[in-house]
Amino acid sequence: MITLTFSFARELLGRWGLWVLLGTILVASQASFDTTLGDANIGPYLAYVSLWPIALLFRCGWVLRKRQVEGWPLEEQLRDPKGYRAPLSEFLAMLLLALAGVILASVALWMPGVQSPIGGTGLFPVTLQGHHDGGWEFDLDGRTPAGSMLMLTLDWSQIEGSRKQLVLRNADGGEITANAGQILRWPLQDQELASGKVRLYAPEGTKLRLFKPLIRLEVPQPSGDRILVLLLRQLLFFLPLMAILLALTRFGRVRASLAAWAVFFFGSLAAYHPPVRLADAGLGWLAKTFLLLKQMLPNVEGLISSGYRFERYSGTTTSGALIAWLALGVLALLLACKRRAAR
Amino acid sequence: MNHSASAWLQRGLAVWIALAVAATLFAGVRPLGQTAGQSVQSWWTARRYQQADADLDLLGLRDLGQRYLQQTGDGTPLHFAIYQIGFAASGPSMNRLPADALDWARVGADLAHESIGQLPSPWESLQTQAHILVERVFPLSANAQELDLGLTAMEWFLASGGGPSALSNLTGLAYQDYLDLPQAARRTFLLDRMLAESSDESPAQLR
Repeated sequence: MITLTFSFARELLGRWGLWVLLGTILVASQASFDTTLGDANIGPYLAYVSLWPIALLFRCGWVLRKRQVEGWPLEEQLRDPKGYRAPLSEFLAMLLLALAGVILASVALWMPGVQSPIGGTGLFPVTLQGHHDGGWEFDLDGRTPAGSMLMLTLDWSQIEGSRKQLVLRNADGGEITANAGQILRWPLQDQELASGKVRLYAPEGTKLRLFKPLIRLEVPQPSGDRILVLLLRQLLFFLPLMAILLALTRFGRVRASLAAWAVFFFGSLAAYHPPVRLADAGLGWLAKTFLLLKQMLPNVEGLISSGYRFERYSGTTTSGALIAWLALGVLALLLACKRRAAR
Repeated sequence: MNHSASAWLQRGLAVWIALAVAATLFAGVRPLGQTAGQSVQSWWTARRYQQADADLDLLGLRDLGQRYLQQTGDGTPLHFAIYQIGFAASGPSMNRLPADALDWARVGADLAHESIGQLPSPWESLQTQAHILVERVFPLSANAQELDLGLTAMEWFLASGGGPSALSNLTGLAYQDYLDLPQAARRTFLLDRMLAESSDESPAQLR
């Protein structure tokens, strides 16, 4: 099987694959972390590096299609009666090449003339959803990373009696003391992190007001030394997609290049983060349908979070969701290995 | 899986791809890898911003700073543009005609006002807005509304304690002193504080 794995990996790489990978990582590291050209942000680098496993998916679809045309499946049935060696070797070859991308992308940060990476601004504007019963309701726009805080700037100028301290409560009875002249940092509770909704109440009749344009969400900024972990998370996102591609091609017997596109959009659905107001999207019903489909999948958008605002959703994937996502991949791989009847 | 089931699956996948392409084009669904394209755009905007800075193209700084904020969520270039347009460009060292200096100062103050809700860290912009309005706009326009707007911005800035990256708690303590005063004396307090600040340094360096 090792021979099969390496021969498939060689076919995936083709003549230029290795140079494309090295070139992509070199350009990505220079554009992101060069002392004059880059802004040292991890997010764009993650985005550039994620192109490699995406390219692998399409390349794998192309190679499998070529093999379908050349009659490889029939040949395999003769040579491999149990039918698991070829799909497993194909999966392993993709895994090895994706892992090579992760390792090279990590090593690239040790090159001379590269700045230490940082993780974005960590601050995001928040909408005040409503103002009810002396309380404020905030919409954080979806699941939020653990350790995030809501930052509120309070207006004390209308409070009678020159009070400079007040206790604010949330709906679950949690409390925090607010001081005049300080930003109030409300550490989000588990329920608030999951739902993305926060309600805070000031004592009744205090006339404490909120400077609405200054409400911010502060999320933890991943430090530069976490880049290997972030790249490995990306890899975990792509593994089930690779397995699904093999399952569709082998068990489903569909055209491999078509399966690659289908899997690409399936991955896009899993990584989909809906706009704040779905009605703003051109085809609102389509956006709603996609959102509905996405809710059936484990929440794995935190694995593939990249770009300048990557820290907003990075780390929002729970262990349960990750296990479910990987289980989906295992199931697909089992299907891919299932012996098919002869055509 | 028999042959007809495969054919149906293939048709189903084709429909799925067609729907997904439509959703990508018209319903805001982002395909995998799109952030890489956005990152390249942002990178290019940052390079153009540097060029505009080197060329002293103030309106270019404004436009590119706004675009960079939209693309990346990073407001540092826009805040620098606000300072350059509203404070530096209208300062005495630029030797502009009063009407010209007032125009630039107003552009900077408006830009600061509009961007407060979008900047990730709006507190520094509040301070800059306050100084532009009080030190650049008001002396040239003598418009009391603009002075009030500047003092309000300073009040918000004090209430935030100087923002989350403030180096000391002096701004927060100043807000507590401000609250201890009767309503009538608060305006004077803010004005005195701003004039004391501006006698040493530029607002971007004040905290």
